[in-house]
Amino acid sequence: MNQPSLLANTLSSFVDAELPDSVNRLIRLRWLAGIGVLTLTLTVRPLFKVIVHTTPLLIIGACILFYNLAFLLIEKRLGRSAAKAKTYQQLAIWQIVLDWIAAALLIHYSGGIESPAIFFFLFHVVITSIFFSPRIAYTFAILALALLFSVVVLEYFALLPHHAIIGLLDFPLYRNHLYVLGVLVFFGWTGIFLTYLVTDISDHLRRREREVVELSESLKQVTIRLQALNESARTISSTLNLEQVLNQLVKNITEVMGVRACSIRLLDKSEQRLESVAVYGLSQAYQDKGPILLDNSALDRKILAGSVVNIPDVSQSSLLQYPEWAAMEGFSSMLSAPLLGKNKAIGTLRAYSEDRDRFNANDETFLAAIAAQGSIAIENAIAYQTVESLENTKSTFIRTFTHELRSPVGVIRSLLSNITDGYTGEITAQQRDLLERAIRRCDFLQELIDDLLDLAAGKIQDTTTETLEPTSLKAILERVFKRYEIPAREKGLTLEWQNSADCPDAQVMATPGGLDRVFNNLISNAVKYTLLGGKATISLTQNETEVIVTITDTGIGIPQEALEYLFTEFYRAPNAKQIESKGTGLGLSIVKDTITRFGGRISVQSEVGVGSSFTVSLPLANKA
Amino acid sequence: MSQKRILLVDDDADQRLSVRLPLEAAGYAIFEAPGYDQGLAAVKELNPDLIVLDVMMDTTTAGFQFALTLHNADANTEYSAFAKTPIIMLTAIHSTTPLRFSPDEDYLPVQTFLEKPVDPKTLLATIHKLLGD
Repeated sequence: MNQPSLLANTLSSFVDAELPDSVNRLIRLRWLAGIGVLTLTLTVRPLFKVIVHTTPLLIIGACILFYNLAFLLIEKRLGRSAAKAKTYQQLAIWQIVLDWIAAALLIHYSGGIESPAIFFFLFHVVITSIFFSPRIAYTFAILALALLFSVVVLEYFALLPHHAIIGLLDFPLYRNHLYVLGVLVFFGWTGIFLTYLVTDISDHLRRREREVVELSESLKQVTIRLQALNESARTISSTLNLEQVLNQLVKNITEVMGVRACSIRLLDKSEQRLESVAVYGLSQAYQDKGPILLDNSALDRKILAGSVVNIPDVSQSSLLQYPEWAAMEGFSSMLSAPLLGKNKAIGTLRAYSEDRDRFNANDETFLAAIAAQGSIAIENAIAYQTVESLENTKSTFIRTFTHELRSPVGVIRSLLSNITDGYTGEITAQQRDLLERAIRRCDFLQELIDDLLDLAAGKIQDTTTETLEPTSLKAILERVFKRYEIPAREKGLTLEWQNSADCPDAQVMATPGGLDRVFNNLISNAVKYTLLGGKATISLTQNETEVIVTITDTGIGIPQEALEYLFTEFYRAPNAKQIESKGTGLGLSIVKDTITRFGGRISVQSEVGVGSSFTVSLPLANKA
Repeated sequence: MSQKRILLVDDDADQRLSVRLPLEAAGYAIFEAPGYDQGLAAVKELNPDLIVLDVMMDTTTAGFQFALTLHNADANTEYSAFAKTPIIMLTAIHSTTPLRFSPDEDYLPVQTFLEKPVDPKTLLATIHKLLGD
C-alpha cells in the first residue's frame, strides 16, 4: 500500500544523489573562474595592449574566490546525505544567484554589452536547466537575462557609467541601438532556447531514470513473489500435513501481495458447498457468515468453471453471495483463482483488499500460479491421508492378529520346555534334539511376533495416541550400553563409548521406549555382526539443532547392493544371514520408522569386511 | 515340612499346565483357578503361600483387578488376611501398550512381573526368593 511513496523516495533520492556532486563541481570550477578573472585583469594589458578597469575587476575576482571559499566550507560541513537534498538545492541556488551578480558586475566593468565575458551568463542557464524544474529554470533564466539587460539598458541611457575596455573596439557600440537591440534579442533568444533545450533533454533523461527505477522496483516485486512461490512450493513438498500447508500458504499470499486477507475453500463431498479450510486475516464473524452454496454464489460458480475472477469494486458487483458481509468487513476488491485438481476444480483461492481496484494482471497471474501449486498440495495430501488410513487399518489388523498368535506360541514353547527340562520323565537324545529344534522355531516365531507388534504399534501411534516428550538421549544410551557390555565382552569384542565422560546431555522429543528400541536394535546389531577381536564404538555429539549418535563397528559390513533395501521390512543382507540365521528383518525397519516419527534421520555407511557406521540425528527438544 | 501351596490363576489351561509341571516337580502343591471369581474364591478357601497370576483373563485387566482386590483390601474385608500373599504376575501385554511394567512400579501391589513365555527356571528362582526357600 505504501508502494507509491516508496517509489517516489527511491526516485527522488536517485536524482538528488547527483546534486551534491554538481555543487562540488561548481565550487571547483569557480576557483578557475575567480583566478581567471584576476589573471586576465592583470595580464590583459601587457599581452593585448588594452586597458581595463583593474581595481573593480580585481575586487570582483577576489569576491568570487571569497564566496567560493565560504561555499566550500558550508559544503564540507554539510557532508553527503540524501536527507540534506533540500539544503543542497538552496546552496546551489545561492551560488547561482551570487554568480549572476558577479557576472553582471564583471560585464559592467568590462565594457557592458561590448564585454567578451557576456557569454558567462549562458553557463548558469544550462546548469539551472539541468538541476531544477523547468519552472525554476525559466524563472532563473529570465531573471538573469533581466539583470544583464538592465546593465546594458542602463548604460545605453547613461544611467550607469560605461566602463569600456580601452583599445578593444575602434568605436563604442554600447549606444548603437541596432547593435544593442540585436545582441539583446539574440542573446535573450539563445538563453530561452537553451533553457528549453536543456530542460527538455533533462526532463527526458529524468523520465528514463524514473522508468528504470520503476522497472527495477517491479523487478524487485517479481523477485519477492518468485521467492514466495518458491517458498510455498518448498512448504508444500516438505510436508503432507494439509492443514499446515494451506495455513502457511494463505499467510504467505497475504503478506507477499500486501493484501488484507486470503482464504482457501474446498468443495465438500456434495460438490454443492464450499468449506473454508484455511484463512488468514478474516474476522471470525466473517468466517461464520454462513455456508457458501454454489447455487447462490455466481462468483464461485465462475471460479470453479476454471477462471480467475477479479472484482475491482465489490460494491458494484452482483456476483457475491454475501455482499453485505464483504462491505462490513471493509473489502473493496477481491481476486479469486480456481484450485484445479487432475480432473476437476476442487476449490477456490481468494485474496481480499480494502482498496478499490487493487489487483492487476500481474496479481492475477501470480494468484493463479499459487493456486496451481496449492492444488497439487491438496491432492497429494488427500491421497496421503487415504494411504495413511489404509496403512492404519493394516497395522491394526497386524497388531490384533499377531497378538492372538503370541499367546499360543508362548504356551507351546513352555509346554515343550517342560519336556526338555525333564519334568515329564526321561526322554531319548533324539526326542530331545527334535524338541529343541521345535523350541528354537518357537523362539524365532516369538521374536517375529514381537517385532511385528512393535512395527504395527509404531505405525498406529504415529497418528493417534503417542505423545512425544523431552527425553535425555544420553540416559537411554547409557542404559542400552550397559545392557550390551557383558555380552560384547563374552563374545570377545570391545564395546566402547567414545566420549562418555564429556558427551552432551541434550533432550530430544521422543518416547523413552521408542529410543530404547532404536538403540537396542542398533547396538545389538553392532555386537551381533562384529567378530572376535573387533570393536564397536558409540559416540554422542551435538550441534546447534541436532543431537547425533554414531554407532560404528568393525564388523562384517553390508554389501553395496544391500544398502538400499536395508530399512525395508523383512529384508536381511545375505552375509548377515550367514552369521546369524535367526532374524526377522524387521529391526532396522522399526528403527527407521521410530526415528522418522521423532523427526530425525538415519543414515548408514558400510564396506564389506571393514565395518558399518550408522548415524542417527534427532532434532533438539527446544528446536523441534 | 508341609508342602507350600501355590495358586495358579489363569484362563488358559495349557498355560496353567506348563507352569504346573515344573512347580510340582520342585515340590509345591499346586492349585488352579480359571478366572477372577474362581481365583478369589480359591484364595479364601486355600490360603495359598503364593499366587501366580495372569494379567489377561476375562478382560485385559482382570489380573490387575485381582491383585488390587487382594492387596489393597481394608482390614475389615473378607480378603484382609491375604494382603501379604506374594503375587507373581505373568504378562504378555508389554508390546501392545506404551506402558512397560517392571517390578519397581509400586502402584501395582505385585511383587514381580514375568514376561511370557516364562522360563521354568526363572519362575522357580523367583518363587524361591519370594518364599524364602
